[in-house]
Amino acid sequence: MIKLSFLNLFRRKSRTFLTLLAIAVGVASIIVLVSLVDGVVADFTEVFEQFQGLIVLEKGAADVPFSKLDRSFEHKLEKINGVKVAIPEIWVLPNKIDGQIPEFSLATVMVYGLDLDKYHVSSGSGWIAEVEKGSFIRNSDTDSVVIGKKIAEDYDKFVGSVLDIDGKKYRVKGIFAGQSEFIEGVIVMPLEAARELADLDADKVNSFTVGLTDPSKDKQIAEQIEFIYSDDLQALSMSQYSEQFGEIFGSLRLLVWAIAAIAAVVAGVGIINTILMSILDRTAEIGTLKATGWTNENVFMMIMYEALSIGILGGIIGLILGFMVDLFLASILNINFLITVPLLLQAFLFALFIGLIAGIYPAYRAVKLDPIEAIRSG
Amino acid sequence: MIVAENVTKEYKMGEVIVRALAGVSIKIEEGDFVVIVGPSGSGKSTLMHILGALDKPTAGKVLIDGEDISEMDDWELAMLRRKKIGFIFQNFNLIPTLNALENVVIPTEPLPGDKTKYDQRGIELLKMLGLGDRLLHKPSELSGGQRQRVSIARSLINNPEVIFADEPTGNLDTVTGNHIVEIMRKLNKEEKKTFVIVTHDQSLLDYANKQVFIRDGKIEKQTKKKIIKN
Repeated sequence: MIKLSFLNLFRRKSRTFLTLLAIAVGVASIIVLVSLVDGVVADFTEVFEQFQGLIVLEKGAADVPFSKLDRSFEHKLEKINGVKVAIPEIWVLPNKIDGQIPEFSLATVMVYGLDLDKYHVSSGSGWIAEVEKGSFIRNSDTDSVVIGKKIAEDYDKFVGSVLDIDGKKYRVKGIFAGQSEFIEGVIVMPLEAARELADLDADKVNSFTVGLTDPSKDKQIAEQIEFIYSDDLQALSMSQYSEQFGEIFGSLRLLVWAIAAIAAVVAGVGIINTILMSILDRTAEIGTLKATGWTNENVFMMIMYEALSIGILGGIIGLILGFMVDLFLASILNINFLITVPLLLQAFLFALFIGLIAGIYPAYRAVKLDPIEAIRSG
Repeated sequence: MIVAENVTKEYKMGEVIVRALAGVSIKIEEGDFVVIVGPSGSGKSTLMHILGALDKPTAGKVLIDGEDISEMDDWELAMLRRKKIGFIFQNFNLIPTLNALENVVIPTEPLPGDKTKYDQRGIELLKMLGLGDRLLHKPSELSGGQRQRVSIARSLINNPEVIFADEPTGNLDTVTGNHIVEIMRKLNKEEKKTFVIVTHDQSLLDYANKQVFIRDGKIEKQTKKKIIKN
């Protein structure tokens, strides 16, 4: 019976092909969109895992570049119990690098100025990854920078090269490599050098990275800071950041699933149509099968097998298609896709499910065919 | 044995009720070769469908081996057809994607158990009908007469007691048509299969041991006779 169902599908090759294509595109779009979101989440998670401690911002500021704080908070923060070090930071979005406007991407180029001497003391919990080539810099290296690997690749820089940021020239002293593009898109320089670029008053900084004696107490200490300086500061722990972020991307992932699922449901309607048409083509045949002793259940199953076959075949083609589109996009767009086995499995099962559901109505119609009418129409 | 007692069949066509059969009684006994003739619209096909457990009467009784089909549900009727009845159609109704052998065994497809014994029987039947060298041909590669022989083999695959044929020669030329009827007569004589043939071709009457003339849903004449042709 399965063989017959399968053969039935290939009687109208173009019709079946189009339906398969619709299912395949639905499945592929689920895979591409979800793996894109998952890839971005994976990149961010890498950053969060590397960073332990707190970020302290001006109260109400959406993100570090929009925050402005008195530098005097540095000592105030360090007096709080459990705080090991407060590192003042300035973040700058450069207008031009080597005379070019930086390409917009998910991992935008950022200039990160900080008290480097203090960073050394705090033994490196922060945004900067391991220096791979060259060496790290100190506060006294005012004309020097350490850059992420992505910047080195994008602007063709080596240790010793000159990098032009908004018309000012800096010498590249070191290159660091992280797991994530967000980290590799950062240019590190001394705090005072960044202040010049940011055009910020001498007693102002954007934010503080706060290192803790016990990183597991990050939430408590963040609450404490926000309580003491309730008018001025907000403190975010990485675990909080990560949770918020997880929520946002969790719902984005759901939305993306929903959009792709709509495509697949439309494809399901295509299956219903394809099989209904094929039943109309085959009324005499189905009537004959009934006349020769096929029960309604037998006929129902034959049609269900046909719908399921479309679901399975379309699912498999969709998996391959999605995989190939991911590879292609990854090669031209420099985006990390995260294809996981559960995602492939979910997308495939979804196609199967669509096939199953789409089969029910046509199968019911086939069962309802009156064998006598059916034979007569032959 | 099939007994129909005072069978009436009415259809609703829109607002109009059409009476296809108006009180038909007939008895089909084992080994009969029944030919039912009548003009189109006479109700002969309807009678065949009811005698063949494809349809139920509106009134009256149809007993197949003593069991009343009006009491049966779809599943029971399917089981009855599966075990006791075979059908041959004017248009052969073969499945174009399947080869001759696959078409012959298609009624056994839902049956559980070993499929090879059905294949074996299918091959025997096709050989018996002179299609031993056409087992793997698709219907489109066969002539009309060959197709009808495949459908005869299909009607025999479940070893039924009675085979119903609806205009079996209707789509064939006279010579091929006669050949098909002769095959059926041979099965009737040698395999003791009961045949009920519905046709408007009066020449088939010569083969019958029971002739039934039907018009306007009623049996006009029913004669038992000696078979003229073999």
